[in-house]
Amino acid sequence: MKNIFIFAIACAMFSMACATATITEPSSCEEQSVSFSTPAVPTIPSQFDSVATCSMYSVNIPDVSTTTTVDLSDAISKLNKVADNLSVAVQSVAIDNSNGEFNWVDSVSVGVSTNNLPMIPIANYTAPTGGPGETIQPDVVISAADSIKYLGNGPATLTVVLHAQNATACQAMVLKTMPSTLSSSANLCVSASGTVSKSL
Amino acid sequence: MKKFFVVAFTLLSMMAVSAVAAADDHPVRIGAGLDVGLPSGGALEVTLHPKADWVRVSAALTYNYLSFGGRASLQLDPMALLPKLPIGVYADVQGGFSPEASIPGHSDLPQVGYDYLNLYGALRFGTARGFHWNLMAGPTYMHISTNNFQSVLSNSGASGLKIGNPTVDGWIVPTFITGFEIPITL
Repeated sequence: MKNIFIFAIACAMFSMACATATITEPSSCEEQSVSFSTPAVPTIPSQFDSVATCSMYSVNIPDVSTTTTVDLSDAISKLNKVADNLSVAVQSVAIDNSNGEFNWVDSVSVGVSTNNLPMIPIANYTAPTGGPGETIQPDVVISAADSIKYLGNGPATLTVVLHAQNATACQAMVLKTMPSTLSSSANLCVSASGTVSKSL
Repeated sequence: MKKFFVVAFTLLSMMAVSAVAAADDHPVRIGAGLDVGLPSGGALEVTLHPKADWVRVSAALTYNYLSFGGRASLQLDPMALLPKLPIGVYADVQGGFSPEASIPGHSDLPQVGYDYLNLYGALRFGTARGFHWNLMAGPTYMHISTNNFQSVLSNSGASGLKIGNPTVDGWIVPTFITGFEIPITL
């Protein structure tokens, strides 16, 4: 409050109109299709390959990964042109699981890289007891500083890795029945804000 | 911060009105006025002087070319205690809104609306009990909201990208309103 009165006096002294404001873009999201090759399922001993016994046996399913390109830099750069002190934060990374094709997944790691910058983690996920729900939503781990560095300057590559080191034989058996490619979508949302102080 | 101003403004108005409601034998005066300025636009105002000349509350219908809105104000005019004085200096606190609306003829562009709080110092030309012209100016806090921002991207052909509706919060210094009021003694 004190600052605005100092600001007002300064504007009055110089007989000009001034504006100081915070611009907030609450949510810019990009959704891309992603597809994974269905992992090869290890052999399950015969005594555990029935519905009655499959929950008592765990298998280590190989990791599978895929990459997709997102580009939110245009929206971020437009805000950067009018605002100072731009701050960008990744709000969410989400992978659709409404068809249950990823119910066998224990954990997910998502990394981001660009042509000029090495891959760093952007989000990590550990499935709750009972398995993933309809949406796999990893916890965002990337910092605000890295967010603007990786997402604000052009296309970025998201690398999604699915882990299943403790899948039950039941889940492995379901996985065997799935098609060779698992298709879904990945959604990345960021928020941005900046300050503007101008003479009108 | 917006909620603080709204609550503070409402409490101050209620305190001022109740404090003077039964204070003395001044009659209640109502009035009407017209004014124009930023950010309210054009306004048609109904005023109430609750048994005192030095406090006034008002409600106005505003129009800013985009949409109709509303404005309420509390005016404290101590110089009105000298009713024959043809000039006055007073404080005016106003809160108002303009709903989100499209720019006429440009439904393809995002809608814009705003809420605002004016903290004005003002000059009154004329007596407080009769016709007078007001000139108000000071800082304004605004919350500007947008809607349908996604339409800009849809029209530009961008796909897969969804943009939320940006908001702007901050101060503009100065803004102004000028207009007249005609009080009527009941």
